[in-house]
Formats: sequence, C-alpha cells, structure tokens
Amino acid sequence: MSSIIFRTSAHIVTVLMLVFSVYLLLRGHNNPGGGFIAGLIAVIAFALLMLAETTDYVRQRLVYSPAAFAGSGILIALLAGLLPLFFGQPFLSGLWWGKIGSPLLFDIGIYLAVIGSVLMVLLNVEEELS
Amino acid sequence: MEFLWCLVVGLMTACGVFLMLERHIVRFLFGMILVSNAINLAIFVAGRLTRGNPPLIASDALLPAAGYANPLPQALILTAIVIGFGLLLFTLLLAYRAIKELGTADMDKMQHAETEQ
Amino acid sequence: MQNPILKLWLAFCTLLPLGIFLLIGASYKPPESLFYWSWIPSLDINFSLRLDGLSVLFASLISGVGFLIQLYAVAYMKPYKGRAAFHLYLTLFMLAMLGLVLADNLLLLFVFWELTTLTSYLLIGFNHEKEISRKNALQAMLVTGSGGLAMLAGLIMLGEMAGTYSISAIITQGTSLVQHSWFTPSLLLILLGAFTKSAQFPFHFWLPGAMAAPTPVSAYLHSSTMVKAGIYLLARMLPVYGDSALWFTLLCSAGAFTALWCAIQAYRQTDLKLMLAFSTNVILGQLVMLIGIGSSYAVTAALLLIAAHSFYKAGLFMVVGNIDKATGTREYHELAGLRAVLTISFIAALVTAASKAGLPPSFGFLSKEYLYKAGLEFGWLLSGSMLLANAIMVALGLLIIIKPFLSPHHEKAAPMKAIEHNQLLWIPPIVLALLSVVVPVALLNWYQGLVIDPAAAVMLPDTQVKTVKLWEGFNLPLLLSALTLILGIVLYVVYPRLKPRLDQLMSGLPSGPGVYQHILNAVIKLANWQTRILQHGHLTQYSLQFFIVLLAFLGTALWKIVLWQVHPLPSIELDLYYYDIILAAFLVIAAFVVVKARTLLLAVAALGTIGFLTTMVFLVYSAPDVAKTQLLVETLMVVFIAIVLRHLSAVNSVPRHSTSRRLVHACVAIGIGVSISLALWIITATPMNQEISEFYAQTSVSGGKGRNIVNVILVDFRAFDTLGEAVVVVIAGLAAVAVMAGKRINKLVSESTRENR
Repeated sequence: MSSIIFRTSAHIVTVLMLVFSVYLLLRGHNNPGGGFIAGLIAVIAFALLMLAETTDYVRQRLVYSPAAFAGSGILIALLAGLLPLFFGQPFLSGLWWGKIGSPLLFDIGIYLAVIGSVLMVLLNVEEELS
Repeated sequence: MEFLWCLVVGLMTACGVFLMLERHIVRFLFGMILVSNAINLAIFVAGRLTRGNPPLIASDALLPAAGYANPLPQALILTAIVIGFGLLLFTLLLAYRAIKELGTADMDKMQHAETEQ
Repeated sequence: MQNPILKLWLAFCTLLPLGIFLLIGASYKPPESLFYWSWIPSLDINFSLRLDGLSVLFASLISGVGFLIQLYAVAYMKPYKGRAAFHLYLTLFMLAMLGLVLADNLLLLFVFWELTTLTSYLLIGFNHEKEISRKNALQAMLVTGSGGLAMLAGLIMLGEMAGTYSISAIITQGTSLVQHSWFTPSLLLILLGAFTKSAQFPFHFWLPGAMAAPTPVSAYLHSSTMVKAGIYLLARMLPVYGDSALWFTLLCSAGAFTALWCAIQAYRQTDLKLMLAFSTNVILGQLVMLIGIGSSYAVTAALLLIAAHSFYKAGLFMVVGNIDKATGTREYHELAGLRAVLTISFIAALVTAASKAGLPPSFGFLSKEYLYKAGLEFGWLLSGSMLLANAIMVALGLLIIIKPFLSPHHEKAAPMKAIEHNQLLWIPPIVLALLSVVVPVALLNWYQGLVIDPAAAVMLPDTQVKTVKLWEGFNLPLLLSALTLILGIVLYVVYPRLKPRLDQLMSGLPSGPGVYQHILNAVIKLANWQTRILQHGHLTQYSLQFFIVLLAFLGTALWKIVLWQVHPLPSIELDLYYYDIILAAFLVIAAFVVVKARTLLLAVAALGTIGFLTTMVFLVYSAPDVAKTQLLVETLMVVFIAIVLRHLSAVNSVPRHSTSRRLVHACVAIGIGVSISLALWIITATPMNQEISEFYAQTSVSGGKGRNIVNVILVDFRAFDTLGEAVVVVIAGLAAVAVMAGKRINKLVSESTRENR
C-alpha cells in the first residue's frame, strides 16, 4: 500500500472527498445528501488517508481527538434543539433566518458525531491490530 | 412487484438465520449482517415501492410530483442503517476480542465466562 | 445519645406518630372525611384517603400505639447498632400501615399492603447477623407476600365486578354482587390474602417465627398493626361478602380452629415472648370468627376486642422486653422474684394480664362478654371453643404474673439488674395498662360514639348496634366468664402435669415451619432444574432456543390469519421489469453464497455484493438518500471486516454441527423466512394509511423550508429521534473502543497488581 502513486493521489482524493462531503452536507436539505451521508463520506476520506499514511498522521491532521468530534457533534445538535426554547418554541423546532436555520446546525452536529464516532473506532482498530 | 421482494426478504432472512445458528462466531456475525439487511428491505417494502419518483420537491414547486415515493420509511431505514452499522461494529470487535481472549471461534467452546464463577 | 443529629432524628420519629394521631383526631368528622388526589385517572387509581369509623379506629391505634412504641424503642434499642435505621424502618412501617387503613382505592390499598410486607421484613430481620432472623423474616415475607398477590387478583376481580376501584363506592353496592360469577373466586382470593396476613391456620406459623425481631417490633406488629391488616380488610369487605354462606363458614371455622389450636400451642411454650405470640394468633382467630358471624353483637365485640387486644398485648410485650433486659432470658422457669427490680413493670403486667385474662372491669373483660354474646347466638360449639381458648388465656395470664414476678427466688433463676431508672422503659406499658382500665370504666360512651357506632354503620349499614355497657346484670355470658376463670385456674394448676402429655401428643404432628421449608425446598429444586435445562451454557443452543420461540410466535399469529381468513390472502400481482428480476436473482444467489462459502473471504465478498445490490434496490425504488447511506455503510463495513479478518486467519478450523442438527436449523430458518415473507405479503396487501407521509410532504417546504423530504423528516419533523440515534452511534463507538482497549487495561491491571505483591 505504500506505492508512491497511491500515497500522492490519496492526499488529493482525501481533500476532494472532504470538500464533497461538506457540499453534500450543505445541500442535503433540498437535494439527496445530509449529515449522515456527508459524515460517512468524510470517514471514508480519512480511512483512505489512514491506509496511505499512518494512524498517527491522521490523528495529527485531525488536531482534536475523534472523541472530541463526536462529543461536540452531540453538543451542537443539542444546542440546535435548545435554541428554539429561547424563542418560546418547543425543543428542536426549526428556526430560520433566511437560508440559515437551526436544522442546518442540527445536521452539522450529526455530521460531526458520525465522523467522530466511526473514526474513533477505525483508528483504534487499526492501532490495536497492527 | 411487492410480492417478489417479499420472497427475496424471506429468503435472505432464512439464510441469515441459518448462519446465526452456526458454531463459527464470524459466520454468526455474517448472519446478523444479512438479517439486518433483510429487515431494512422489509421495512422498505412494507412502505410500498415506487419507481422513479423520489420524495424530492422541484425548486419551483411547493409539493412533490404526484405519486412520489413514501418518505417516512426511507427516513426510518436511513437511521436504522446507521444505528445498525454502529452496533455491528461493536459486535464485530466484541467477537474479535472473544476469539483472542478464549483462543477459539467456536461458540460452543465459549463457556468460559459462565463456568468460571 | 451524644450525637445531636441522632437525637434530633429520634425526636422526629417519636413525635411524628403523635402528630399524626392528633391530626387524625382533628380532621375526623363523623361519619367520614375524604381526601382526594388524582394519581392515574386512566386506570381508576386515585390517591384517595377516607377517614370513617373503621379506619379511624385502626389509624388512631396505629399512630397512638406507634407513639408509645417509638418512645419505648428509644430506650430499648439504646445498646443496638444501627438504631437510627431501626427508627426509620419503624416509621416507614407505620406510614405504610396508615396508608393501608386509610386508602379508599382497592389498588392503593394493595400497594400499601405490600409496603407493610416489605417494611416488616426489614423490621423482623433487623438482627440480620443472626441466621434465624433472616430466615424468619424471609418466611414472614414469603407467606404474607404470596397471600398478598392472591389478594391482588381478588381485588381486581372485585373492582371489575363493581365497575369501580373506589372502596366507598363498592361498599354502597353492598351485597348486590352475589350473583356475579366472579363472586366466589374473588372472595376466596381476598380471604387468602387476609388469612396469610392475619396468621390464620394453616398460615399461622410465620407469626411466632417473627419473634426473632427486637421486642418493640413484636409489640407493635403483633398488637395493633401488621396482623390486624387482615382483620381490617375483612371488616371492610363485610358489607360486600357478609351475606354469603361461604363467608360465614370459612371465617368461623378458620377463626375458631386457629384460636383453639394456637391456644394449645401457647400453653406449651416456655418462652414468654412465644407464649404471647401464639396468644396473638388466638385473638386473631377470634376476630376472624367474629367478623365471619357478622351480627350486631359480633361486630361490637370485634370493635372492642381490636382495641382491648392492642392495649394489653403491646403492654405485655413491653413488660417481657423489660424482663429480657433485666435478666437476659425469657424462659419463665429461669425467672423468679422480679417484683423487686421491676416494680412498675409488675403493676403494668398485673393490669394488662388481667385484661388478657378478662377480669372485670378491664377492657378484655368487656370484649369477652360480647364475644360470648355473639357466640351464643350461634349455639354452643363456637362459644364452647371460645371458652376453652379464653380459659387458656387466663392460665397464661396467671403464669406471666406468678412465675417471673411472685415466685420465690430459686437456684435456676437468672441474675437480675435494675433497669427502671430509665423512665422510657416503663412509661409506655403503664400508659397502656391505664388505658386498658380507663376506657371501659370512664370513657365507654365516648368510645361508643366515636368508634363503635360509626364503624358498625360502615360494617353493617342496615343494623343499629346496642349501647355497650360494662355491667349488664347477671346473665349467661357472665356465667360463662366465671366458668372461664375457674377453668383457667384449674388449667394453671394442672399445667406442670399436663404439659409433658401435650408435648408427647403433639410431637408426631407436622409443624408449620417444617411444611413451609419443604415447599420452599421444592420450589428451589424446581428453579434449579429449569435453570439447568435453559441455562446450560451452550451459546448456539441459546440462539436456537431464541429462534424457535420467535418462530412459534410468528407461526401462531400467521396460522390464525391464514387458517381463519382474518384477512383474505391477497392476489399475486406481478408488475416486473427485467432489472427487478436480475436484482432479486443476484441477491438470492449472493445470500446462498454466504451460506455455502467455505472460506471467510468469499463470504465477505458475497456480503459486500449483497450490500451493493441492496443499494441498487433502494436506488431503483426512488430512495436516493437511503441508497447513498447504504453504499457508504457497506463500504466501511467491508473495510472493517477486512481489517479484522486479516488478524483472524488462524481460526478457520471450527467444526460444524452434526447433519441432523443442521437439518433442524434449516427447518427453523426456512420457517422464519416463510413467516416473514407471508407477514410482509399480507402487510403490503392491506390498504395503507398515508396520512403522516402526506403531512410531511405537504409541509416540507412551507414548514421545514427544505425540498428533500427525507432530510426534512430527519432534521426537523423527527429530529428528536435523530438526536437519540446519533447518541446511540457515539455510545456504540465508545463501547467498541473500550472492547478493544480492554486488553491494554487488563495488562495494566495485572502488571500493577504484580508490583503490589
């Protein structure tokens, strides 16, 4: 797996996939896509990078630990749910300001939670088994 | 056309259940994956099948085109797939750990935990 | 009592019953007062309390005697460990008991009934370091608890018969329920509950066993509370069941037999506390009999006896507790000359024993007179057996006074020490002794107006009770009383010669605890047997059992539908394109390949194929979001399996099940598959309610501001589900990591323990 072509292209593909995942996340409300799908694509992008380089490299590029991603994802989703309470609406109601709304924030939370939890397992498995 | 998929779901479930009854723990796991796939399909079929009309609304319309596919089972299956994935990951690693700790993949020899106490 | 918090706590526990007693007195407005809070209105369960003549008698006994018991326990439990907990249990028990007698809802009554069982378990087993305490506490709980469960069934039947669970509403229906087919079963079940609680033969044995408890517990539980719960229930149910012949027969025979049998048992005891315990059984038997008779005299006698017994029995138990404290023994032949150190206790004992023996003008005398009056209405058999039981009570009363207090000092007598400098040890019994005399002599009119008349009005709505008088001139009951007294003295005199004969006579009979132990052992054996059958430790058999049960459920449900044509079987509509058939065929083939594959790699490949084919199915049938998710999950799953399998290359050599076993597996698997197909087929043929889906589709743009309806459902309409699901995924991930990291943790633990050694 350490051919130079694979390693070089993996970096480029990873970046492209991450951009694509953000695109899917943002357009998910109106077209096929959304937090789950985008999150899974991002995980696959990092998996590719992990196979080309090492787990340590991936952890370094992530800056924060996957568990932090997962936790902050849940917190963001929760925050999106709590926001409407300040406007006198029930928990998790949608609030909209033009094109931006709390459901989008919620989807970002889901996105981060999926990335964090799956990546957490993936990196750990790879480290434990090799 | 639902009838065809009823048959397919039944066959997939039968194969999955048969695998889940085997002694090899990894094959048990394969059975579980197969059954969870089959059940997702079953929910999908139970919500009726529609060809070529996804539950999307065109950018100039307020309602989806007539005869759109039922969106509710789709949302349910989508979450079911992701949850199922998380739980299968856990089961896979649990099985791996059990094999490493007990030195066997034979479920009938995995009595360690129950006989020890 | 150095600890100020403990001091405060003890003061609280002692004053609480007094406060409740005063509160009851203040809020009781004859004929009844109601307090009501809605609890589970949909099930007709309400927190409703009712204070009428019957419950005011019990509630004031529970709180009043409870106050004295708490006082006594403050002194008695001083040397014990965990005395704060003891007062807590006692208070909880008292509250449960109060709830039981005040509840105006059948199910609420049951809840409190079981709470008294639980809290009495804590009290009886308080000396939990002794095996006998644990055993007897469990025995009491199992006997009264199982009776309580039978009673629950009976109460539910009663509630359903009457159409309401409100006790006051049921009582107003009176005896109109006799015609109902559930009348007799509900009567029998409720009696089972009452008889176990009130220790009627053959369930009487738990009560003497409960003497393993500290003395304040015995004084409380067996005078005015726990065992009277059954009596209370019977008294409550009298207006409903009282007219039936079965009620009369069962209650009179069980009550009379219990009274007689336990009187003989009490006569044989040498331990003073056990003697009192068996004589409690006697009184309970008499009360059950009186309620069974259910006449005006009988109800009056019961209402008198309940209070009289509470006073003198609690007082006597406290005296015995003091004897125990002063000498360290309760065997009467080891006691002598206690009058010297227990002077005030002796006075209390004298008065309470007189009430127990039924000497005028005590409360016991009064209730015994009415007992005879009620018995005489129904012939000589009942009165005769009561006469014998009462005569034994007289003998026991004499024994309790003469042997420990008056007999001259002899060699076997235990050394004694003075304990009466602690006032709390003698104030409660002397108060109870006073009440045993003052109420019949001076407060009888007051007692009649406040308790007997309103309570009798509840128990016998159609009958007017006569005014109770202490002295009614010379009549037959008085003659019987005199006869009782003479017979009692004779029995006391012949006691030393009669007892060995009785012991010889009774030794061959099976004992209650023995039978109970046999039944308990049999239950444990059964449990072991079924555990061996079901919990054998073979994992594959567990899964086989699971699927067989699943098949049985699915099969019977579908069998009913198919056989009885609940739904007509749908016709088969085949509206297929060529790619449907290709997809379906490949899916089925891939599934079979997974089953048939002899190498794990081939199986993984086939599984991957199935995943991608499923994706195609979602795509073809207009589910792009699901298709994408499935595709991505499948990719990741294959990556994970590949990583893990790479490290499991050496485990290919697992033997397979025998051919016949695999044949069974195939049958089960095919059965489940066919059931799923059939169920799904029937589902797809029934008309579908599209309401929810249509609502989502119509409000997706206007309400959710999104054009992808599936996504709007996920992040807006049903976002709460999605949030929960994201949490599950994160937890599953954490758990998976923990499973993998376990090895490192184990290693760390074993290394650190090695260093410590």
